[in-house]
Amino acid sequence: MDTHESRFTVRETFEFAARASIGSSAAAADAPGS
Amino acid sequence: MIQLLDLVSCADTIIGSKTVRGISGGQRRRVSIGEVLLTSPRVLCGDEVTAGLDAAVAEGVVHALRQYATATRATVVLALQAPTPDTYALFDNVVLLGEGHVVYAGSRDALEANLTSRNFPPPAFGDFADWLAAFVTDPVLAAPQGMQPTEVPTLEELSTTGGPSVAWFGSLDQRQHSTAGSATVQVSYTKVGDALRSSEYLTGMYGVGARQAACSRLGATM
Repeated sequence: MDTHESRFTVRETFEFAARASIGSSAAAADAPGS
Repeated sequence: MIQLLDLVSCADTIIGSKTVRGISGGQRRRVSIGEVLLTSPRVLCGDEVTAGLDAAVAEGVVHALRQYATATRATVVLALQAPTPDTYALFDNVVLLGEGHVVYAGSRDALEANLTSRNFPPPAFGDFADWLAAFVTDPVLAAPQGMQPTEVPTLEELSTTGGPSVAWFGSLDQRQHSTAGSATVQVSYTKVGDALRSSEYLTGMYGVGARQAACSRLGATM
């Protein structure tokens, strides 16, 4: 629960999470057998 | 996401830490949930996600999860020890567990009639969710007037499945997804936290529905 980077705002935290989610989806799509 | 979780007022506030002042504990909890929702889970499991939050914030969190479930046709499974009446009313389905026994599993709307048919009529007044917590803690506490303690069935006798809650937890999800419903499910009371934590498709504090892993585990089609 307390793993957030304290210096980031709520908005920035969500932006990072959204980018990470998109990145992981793209990686999954590129994975062999997908 | 910021609007869904009612974080507009603190959107540009830093998260903070123990030494640096930032958003409140309740807001921090909602940020954590938001981060999970941004992964678009098809199945989201939460173990006591409202612990430590005041009643209004807790209801807001569950309401946001319900909105997510409705909008995305995902399934949200929450284990809550003591939901408030308003929070309880947000759920479509309820699983009552006592000492690992499934005492009830089905729609929230049918729960009251089900218990009444089994000689446990809920009180006409008062907090129904609170009464349920007492019921699965010790049926004697919820027994109707006139019923002798020796006549009150045990939780094992009230069990609808006779099986362990962990196994049943799996079949619950399978059933939910076999109908492709956008249900929000409450799994509550003892042992469920252990089940959630031991499930391989959970990460961190919240259960993130890693789709393939959940399908593999549950044999479900999502």
